[in-house]
Amino acid sequence: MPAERDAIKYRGEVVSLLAAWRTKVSFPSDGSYSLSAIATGSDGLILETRPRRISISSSAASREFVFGSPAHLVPLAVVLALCIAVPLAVRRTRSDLVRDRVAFAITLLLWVHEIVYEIYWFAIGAWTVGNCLLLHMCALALMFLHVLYFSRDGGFRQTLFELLYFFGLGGAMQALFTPDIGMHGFPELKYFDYFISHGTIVLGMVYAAVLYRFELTWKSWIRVVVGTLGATLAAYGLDLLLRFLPPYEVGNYFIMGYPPPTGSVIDVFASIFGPSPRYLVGLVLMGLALFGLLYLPYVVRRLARRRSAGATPSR
Amino acid sequence: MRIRTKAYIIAGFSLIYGMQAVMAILLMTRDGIRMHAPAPGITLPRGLPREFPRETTVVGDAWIKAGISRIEVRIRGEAGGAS
Repeated sequence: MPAERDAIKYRGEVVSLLAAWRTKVSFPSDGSYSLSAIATGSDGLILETRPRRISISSSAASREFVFGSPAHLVPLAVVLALCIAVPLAVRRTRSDLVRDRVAFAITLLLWVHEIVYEIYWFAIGAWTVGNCLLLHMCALALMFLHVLYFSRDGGFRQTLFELLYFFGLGGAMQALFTPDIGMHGFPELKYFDYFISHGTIVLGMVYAAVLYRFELTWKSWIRVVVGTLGATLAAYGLDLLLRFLPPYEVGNYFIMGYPPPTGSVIDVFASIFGPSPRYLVGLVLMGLALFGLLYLPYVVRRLARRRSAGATPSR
Repeated sequence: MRIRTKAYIIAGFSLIYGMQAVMAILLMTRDGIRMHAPAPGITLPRGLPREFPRETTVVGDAWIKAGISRIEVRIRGEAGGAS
């Protein structure tokens, strides 16, 4: 059965081929099957994977992830509940020691979980240099959350919070609402990994915002735009460089290599502004709107404070 | 930041990014082919609705320095049939 390679396309035309390939297979009856893939090179070289045994059963439940299904809504509800309960419970203790211990537990969970997941993802042959280094927006939040909690340099901490608040909350919330895990639904490890890591990043950022009393101002907006643009351009450079290393495909850090093959809002930007790096214009506009949205809780808090200060009777 | 915390953060960064560097080096072969879905040993449902054979997507990646002319997937039943 021939397999098709994933490709970067623009207006229906293939711009460049990716290393990933896929094909649909159907099985005639229940039973055990072995699957293997064979690649033939332009120079006649033939490569074959080791056979992989799978079972087909008409009574087995589908593992395909379905948007809006209980397997999607239950973890969303759990994350929301934790984001409210954990910061409130810790704040009620009024103890910096408890606050720091819970912060440590959150970051430890993120790191330990990431190590286990990386090993699993590599073992099943899905780990790639172009996509899996911890250089994506969410991954940077995952790595630097610990520095944010425990650094004592006020200015550095504030700037780090602004960037991670945008990278972590913006990226992880979008990931939670529109998961891209395809056939790796419940109860596969990838499913749990996806919701644990993104949910913990959101919890970690809400925790930092509520308990470490960071502030966002209009100046934060400028710093976030400058910082994000700088990081995006660096990621774009790295994406291009990765083309020269096996598997000889462009990387996709900060989604600057190509829009995800499974479809996303970036397809719309690519159709308006053009292929990478031109669709960055659309990403910047979306980023500005997103930051405005994430900035709203701070505006509301400031207004509420002003109102309560105005309502306090003067003596 | 306390020295203990600093040491913990440096160790964590070194471990995670170091592990990623090792994985990247292991994949730096001139050519290769991998299959990552469906997961090995998995039980897939055959039909939804049951009267139709269930399709599943086989996914992987491959790279050959000289270029790839063709990729194919072979299915072999336990009884010995192949496609």
